[in-house]
Amino acid sequence: MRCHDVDSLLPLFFDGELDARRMRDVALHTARCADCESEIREFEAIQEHLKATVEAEITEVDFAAMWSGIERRLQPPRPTLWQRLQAHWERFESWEFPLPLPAAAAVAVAAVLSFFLFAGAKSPIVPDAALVASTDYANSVERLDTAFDSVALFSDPDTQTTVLWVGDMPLGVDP
Amino acid sequence: MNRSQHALTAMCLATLCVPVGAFASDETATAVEVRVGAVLASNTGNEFDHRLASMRRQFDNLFSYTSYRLVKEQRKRVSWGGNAGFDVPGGPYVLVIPREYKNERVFMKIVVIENSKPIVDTLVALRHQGTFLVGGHRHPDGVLILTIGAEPVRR
Repeated sequence: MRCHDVDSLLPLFFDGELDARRMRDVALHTARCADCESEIREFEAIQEHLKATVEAEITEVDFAAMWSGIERRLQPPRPTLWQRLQAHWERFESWEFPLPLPAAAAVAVAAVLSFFLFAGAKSPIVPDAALVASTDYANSVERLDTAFDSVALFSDPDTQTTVLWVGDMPLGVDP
Repeated sequence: MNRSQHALTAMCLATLCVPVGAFASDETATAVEVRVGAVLASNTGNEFDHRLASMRRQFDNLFSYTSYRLVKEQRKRVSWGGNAGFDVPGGPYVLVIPREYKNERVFMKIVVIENSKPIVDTLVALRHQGTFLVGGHRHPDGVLILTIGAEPVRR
């Protein structure tokens, strides 16, 4: 792959929109070509600037207040525990047959377990904005230190595979 | 007991099973099974090791070698914060240290050591069924590609 081939692919490369093979070819070329690498750095700088601007805007948004407002509109008012017990008791009273002992015991145990299980889930779930923005559940390389001068990192989303190619040996070539 | 009472009893027992099931599904990954393989890739011949069948698509998509042979594969169960070492014949030593399981991904530190020196030291996050390959290491018969995967072990 030559510089002019890479030049037209750089925006797609940076956005991760190339197929795995072309992604790999561009990565390997830029690892060895100073001009193309500097173009990549420029893209990175623009991306970083953009990210910083967006993040600065996001921090000014009060997500906690927004989510609690949405939740208030989504959920009907929750009846109190006493109101729920009263409703259950009224239903039991209207039954014509007596409640069998094992069933009554099962209901009691289920009520106690459910209370302990779901008691902690009352507070509204407020997603962390930064976490939502950064989570994509794909493979990732968080940090890399290497003794090699040249490394290439590329991935194939189809097979969920990430490759770290190290050293000076071109890919696909025997030593 | 009449029919209604039987139905009521069954319903109550089913209700009981719901919280019990909720407890059972609240699994946490207590450890991680790490697998490390060493594959020798070259352009000599057209051999494709049948033990690598599950990785054929990866190799075809990512590389253009004509021959792939599995040199060694090891699996080890490691607790979080523990470490597991894998030796590759004629190649480097690989040290894997699983850190945590977060956002459905296994975070682990991988150190590739050669001649007592770390040549690669990286922190990766691998999703379920994800694979991390470290390639480019020279070998007398071709190029070594290390295949590294990890799956959380649930209690």
